[in-house]
Amino acid sequence: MTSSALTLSGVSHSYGRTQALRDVSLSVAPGEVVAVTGPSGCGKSTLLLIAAGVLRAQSGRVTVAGTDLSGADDTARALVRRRSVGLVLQFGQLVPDLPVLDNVALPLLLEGHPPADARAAAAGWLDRVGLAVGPATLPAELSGGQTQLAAAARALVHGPALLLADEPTASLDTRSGRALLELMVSTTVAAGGSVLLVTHDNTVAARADREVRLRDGVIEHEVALS
Amino acid sequence: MKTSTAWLIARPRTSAGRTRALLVAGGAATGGGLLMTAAGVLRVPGQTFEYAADGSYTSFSTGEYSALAVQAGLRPGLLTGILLLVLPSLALTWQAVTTGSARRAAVHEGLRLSGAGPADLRRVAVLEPAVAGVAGGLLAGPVYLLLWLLLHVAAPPSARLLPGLSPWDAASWLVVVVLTALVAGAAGAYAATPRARRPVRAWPRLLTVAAGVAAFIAVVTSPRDLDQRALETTLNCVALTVLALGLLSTGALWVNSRATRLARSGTAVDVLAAGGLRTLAGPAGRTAGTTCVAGLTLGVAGSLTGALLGPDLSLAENVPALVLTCTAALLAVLAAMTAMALAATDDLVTTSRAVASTAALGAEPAVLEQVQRRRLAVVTTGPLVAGTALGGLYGLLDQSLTAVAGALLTIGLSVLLARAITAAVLRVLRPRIARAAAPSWLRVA
Amino acid sequence: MSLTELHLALLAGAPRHGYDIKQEHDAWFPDSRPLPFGQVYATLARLQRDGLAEVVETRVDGGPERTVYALTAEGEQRLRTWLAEPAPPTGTGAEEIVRKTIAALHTGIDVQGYVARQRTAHLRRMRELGQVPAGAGPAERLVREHLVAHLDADLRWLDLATDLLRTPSPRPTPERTSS
Repeated sequence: MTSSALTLSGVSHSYGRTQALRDVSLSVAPGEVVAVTGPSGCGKSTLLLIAAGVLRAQSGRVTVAGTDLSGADDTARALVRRRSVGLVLQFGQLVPDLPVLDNVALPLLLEGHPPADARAAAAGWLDRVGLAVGPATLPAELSGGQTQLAAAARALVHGPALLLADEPTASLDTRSGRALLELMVSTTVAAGGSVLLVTHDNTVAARADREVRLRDGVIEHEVALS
Repeated sequence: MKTSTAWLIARPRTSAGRTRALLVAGGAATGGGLLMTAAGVLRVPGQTFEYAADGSYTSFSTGEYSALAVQAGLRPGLLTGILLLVLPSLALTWQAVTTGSARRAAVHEGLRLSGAGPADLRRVAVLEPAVAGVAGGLLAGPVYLLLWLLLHVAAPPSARLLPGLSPWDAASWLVVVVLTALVAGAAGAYAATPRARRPVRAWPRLLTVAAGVAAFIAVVTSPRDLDQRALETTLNCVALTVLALGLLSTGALWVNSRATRLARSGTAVDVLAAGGLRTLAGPAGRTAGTTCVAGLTLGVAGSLTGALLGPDLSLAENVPALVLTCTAALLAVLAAMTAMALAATDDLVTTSRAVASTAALGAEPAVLEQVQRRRLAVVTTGPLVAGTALGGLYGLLDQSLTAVAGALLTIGLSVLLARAITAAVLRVLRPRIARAAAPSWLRVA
Repeated sequence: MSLTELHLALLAGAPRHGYDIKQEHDAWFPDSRPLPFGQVYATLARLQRDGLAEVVETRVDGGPERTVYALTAEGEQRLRTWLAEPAPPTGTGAEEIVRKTIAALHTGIDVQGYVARQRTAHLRRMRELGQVPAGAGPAERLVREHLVAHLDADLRWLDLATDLLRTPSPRPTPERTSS
């Protein structure tokens, strides 16, 4: 069990009276790509946020890269996120006041890398995802699709062992979406990392090795696709 | 995270960020300069008394200073007046630190997702206001110097309020720099701490206001006691501070209750205004609080001016005091205006998408402007008039006829002032409203 | 040929005679060609010959004589075996997936299991199609994309089917007037 990149066991979570997740268990092996699918409101985004340690599961255990997140405090969870997790959310969630370049460099900057190095790495990733921005371009100047590209670059810049993506291609056209997904998955897997994709897009799910289908916060089925 | 990295992230970049930093620095400079002035007044040698055997006494003073600074009965009033000036500048600084809450939440979220821990987030939140606070503290020195030139060098001996410069001023400057940095930083940390949205409990806040009002009335009506001037000054300051804090904290309650009333009235403009007010009840409440505290200062200043113009007082000797109260009034109005412009701009930036959607649904520019006017009116008219009326108690409870007249006049004036300020801010805002209604805000991002 | 299994599914609910089966079929698949009577009787005869269906009754009520057929245990087994297999994920010419899904929904035989298996089959095929061999030209990629797009459409339709199944459409209730 300790060898898995992500393990959720018996995780439950609710928002007020709405039960988002009910006793969900799931594990992602190193190098594996798992898609969590299901209709809107099935709890898949909650699952992702819990895996990232952004939300703390109300019950159950969550282990990321060998660290038990369930008992960890905010600082410890942030450290795990900074070092081992790349996170892409649906709307990019960039820091509005920071230039896009610095946004992408953020995980490295937070880790204490010299700004020049961090920015060089960020520029390289922006180039790879195909986003051309100046050093002073602010997130507000980007379109929704460009914001997703920047968010993907930010999630990849530190070579995370676990890439977590929530509808990472929702704002992109078919072709750019396909290209971004391929870039995110293949670079992460090539480096021995794992990917958890949360999506309701079947073409995105079809990139995974395994599908976990959620409905009403419960795993409905789980099958290998490879 | 290294401090250099934190500064790289926290450094104000946008014009809104720079304006905010400037306001924090400006507020801190004004407040700090005034605190240094208060410290200076304390250094003015007071009256000395020589008691005779029969209980009568003779007072001595150097004759180089205004009676306001020297006489035991007047000095507490002067110090209280200075504090009254400090309050609106502090309220404004607090408001400046807390503006842009929606934007700050987005920054917070983005950083958190990238792996910033609570300590990192705190450091980023503290750094910007703290640096602005240090800048403000450093600027407090020149502000004090300016006041010293006015109240020591330029003033005739009988109107002098401040002593000559001394090493003590340097010491108080240093204290002010440290204090503004600490207070601004603490305000930043407080503003950035995520708090669960709970329904605001009204009673504690209303009780604070009631206690403040009671203390204020008690202080105003209590007999002036020569022997207990230190105690009186302290009591004055405590009463005012409690009152100001109470007023600042009830802002959100006021805004919420007004929003509920507006929402019930049913016209489109009212309902739209109510919606905006309710989502931004916190920031709008702070504006209302700042305006109310500014009104308080205005009311007291008006009453004092009236009292100083009384027939039994020598006009010439009271010129510095008059200048000081008029400056206070001016500063209060300025603080109220800045607070509102700040809030309205912030509000527009935060609600751009909502404004744009409303425009896209077919609301014409005039309606959008009316919505903004309605919102501004909620945080201006009521709070300013209420604050002025409270401050006016200072004059209304006085025996002097001119003080009563001054208070009443100021209260009447505040109604006009509220309207004028609303109109002026709206005028400044007009191009921004047009910009907020631009369809580009509708873009999904 | 799935027409055999489809007849089994049409018989699964209750014993029916030929005319009923034709009516039922045309109601299930409003878009397809109406089933010719000749084909219905031919299929029923074949089912009876293979022991998948049996005659349970011969009705004569005023009109022409009607033979009522019912599933045998073997027929039921054959139907279940058919539904246990997902339709081949071809993407185009998707009649089989429609037949199976509709048959599963109507008969109620392991609907969730069927949908899950069908989904997996489709996703697996989509995954294969996504792994374009190195050196494939744009034409080959486009052919793959065409198939992927159709499979995706099938899956979305399947999602809709399951959703409809979970939340049955509200029946119009007769309005009551209260006085």
